[in-house]
Formats: sequence, structure tokens, C-alpha cells
Amino acid sequence: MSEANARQQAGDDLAVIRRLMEDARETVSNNGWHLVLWGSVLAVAEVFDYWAESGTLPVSPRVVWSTALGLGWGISIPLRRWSRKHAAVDSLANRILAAIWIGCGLGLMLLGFCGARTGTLPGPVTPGVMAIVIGTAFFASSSLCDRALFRMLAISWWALGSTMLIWPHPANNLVMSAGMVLFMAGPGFLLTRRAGKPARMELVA
Amino acid sequence: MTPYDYRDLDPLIHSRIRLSILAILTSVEDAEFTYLRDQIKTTDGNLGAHLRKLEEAGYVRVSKSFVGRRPVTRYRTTEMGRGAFRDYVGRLEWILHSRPMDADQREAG
Repeated sequence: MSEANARQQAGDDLAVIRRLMEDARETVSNNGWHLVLWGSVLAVAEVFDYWAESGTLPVSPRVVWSTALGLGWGISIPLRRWSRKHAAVDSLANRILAAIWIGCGLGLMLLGFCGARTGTLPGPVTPGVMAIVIGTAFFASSSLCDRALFRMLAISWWALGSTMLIWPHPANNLVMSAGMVLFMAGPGFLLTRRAGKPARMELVA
Repeated sequence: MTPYDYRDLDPLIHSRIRLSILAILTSVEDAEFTYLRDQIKTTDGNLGAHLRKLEEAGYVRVSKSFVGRRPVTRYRTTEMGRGAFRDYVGRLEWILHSRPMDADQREAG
């Protein structure tokens, strides 16, 4: 094989390897259902929390959040087990991604319950803090998959969180609810649709 | 043999299908047979034959289980397989980036 041909062949092989590896790593982005689940549950919870805080709904916000989080984890844990069992690939990146989001969820729960119980995190401030934590989770996830989409979502959450912290208001729960739909459940649904997309590669034996 | 000679490369990996299998499996913990087939766009029989060769060489490990009533066959690379793949890619990069002077030096050495 001539030098030029060998170089050409090596370049082609490396290009194929690179594309296959990128495609395999992209498979870890198949976690859209968790975003849909939590985005929907928390969007509804934020609205109910707003009604509870304003006295429209005769229940304690703590009951609203306990119910929402119980429902969320109650579906999320079996969903995670089901996803792992049925996943076509199991990657280290996928586990790191799960750890980021489980950590984010537990951290938000601690912030919400401990902050609200002690009063160190006043009600109108809570959505802003939570939005910034969620933005951080999206940013950390962007290094593992869907870099452009996740970074855009991280920036959106940070912008939303900053705005809510600068202007704390009881109605921020409603803003947060809209954020959950627009920046979590919606993109999660897009990811579930994308997960079924056929591979681009065509190889010969 | 020249430094650009492809006979210098691991013959077991030097097949597009087997190279692709290892490229995918080194990027993940493990993968289902159907995932590999869909990514590589080959037939069950062809993929199975290539996977058997890699398994016999100790480059991949197979595990079979059932999810519900569906039989699932999963593959993962062994340490030997990852090492062989790394060497192969390193060799390709060397071919791609080496200059004629490198070749002369290598032949002289």
C-alpha cells in the first residue's frame, strides 16, 4: 500500500471510529422521560403551591410538596430501573448523568424542606434558588450529552433564577411553573423523540 | 514492511465491522446485540460472526439474560480488547501524522 493510500485509509478509519464513538456516547442522552416526569409534576406543584400560599387552596404548601415529591420519586425510581433494564447501552456517562440529577433532586428537597421549615429560605426566594440549582445540573449534564441543548437550558434556568432572585415575588411560583414546562418537560419530550432516531452510519463489511 | 503497511495493524481488528464493534463498546459499559446491529447497519448473521471472532480472541465478553420473556445478549470489551483497540487507534494516528522522515528513521531503527 502506498504512503498516500495508507494515510487516506488511516484517516477514513479514524473518522469512522470517531463518529461511532460519538454516536455511542450520545446514546446517554436517552433520559427524556425523567425530565418530562419531573417537569410536569413540579409545574403542577408550583401552581398548587401558589394557590396554597395565597389561600385559594385550603391546604398547607407542605402537603402540596410532600404529595408532589412522593409522586415524583414514586414514579421516577421504577422508571429508572425500567430504563436501565431496557437500555440498549449502559455507559459510565449515563450513570454520572443519573447521579447528577438524583443529587440535584435530593439537594432541592433539602433546600425546600429545611429552608422553608427554618425560615432561612423565604418563600418568594425559593423558586429563584431552585432555578439556579437546576441550571447547574443542566450545565453539568451538558458535558456528557446534548451539549448545545443542555447549555442553552442551563443559561435559561440561570437567567430565570437570577430574575426571580432580583425580583422576589409570590407569583414567582407561576413563573417557575412555566419554566418547568418550557425548560424541562418540553425539552425532555424532544429528547424522547430523538432517542428513537435511527443511526446515521452506513458501513460495509 | 513499511511504516505505512497495513499488515502492521492487528488483523483481528482490521475489519470495518470489528473495528466498529470495538469503537462502540469502548465508548460504553456494555451494549445490546441489537444496538450494535442498528449502529453498524449489518445483518444478524454477519455481526454474530464478527462478534464470535472477537469473543474467541478475548476482546469482548458476552452475557445473556432475559428481560421479561425477551432474550437479551449484551457485549462488553475486556481489558485486552480495550488495549488492542487503543494500540490500533494509536497506530492509525501514527500513520496519519507521521512524516517521511519518521518512516526513514523507523526503518533505520
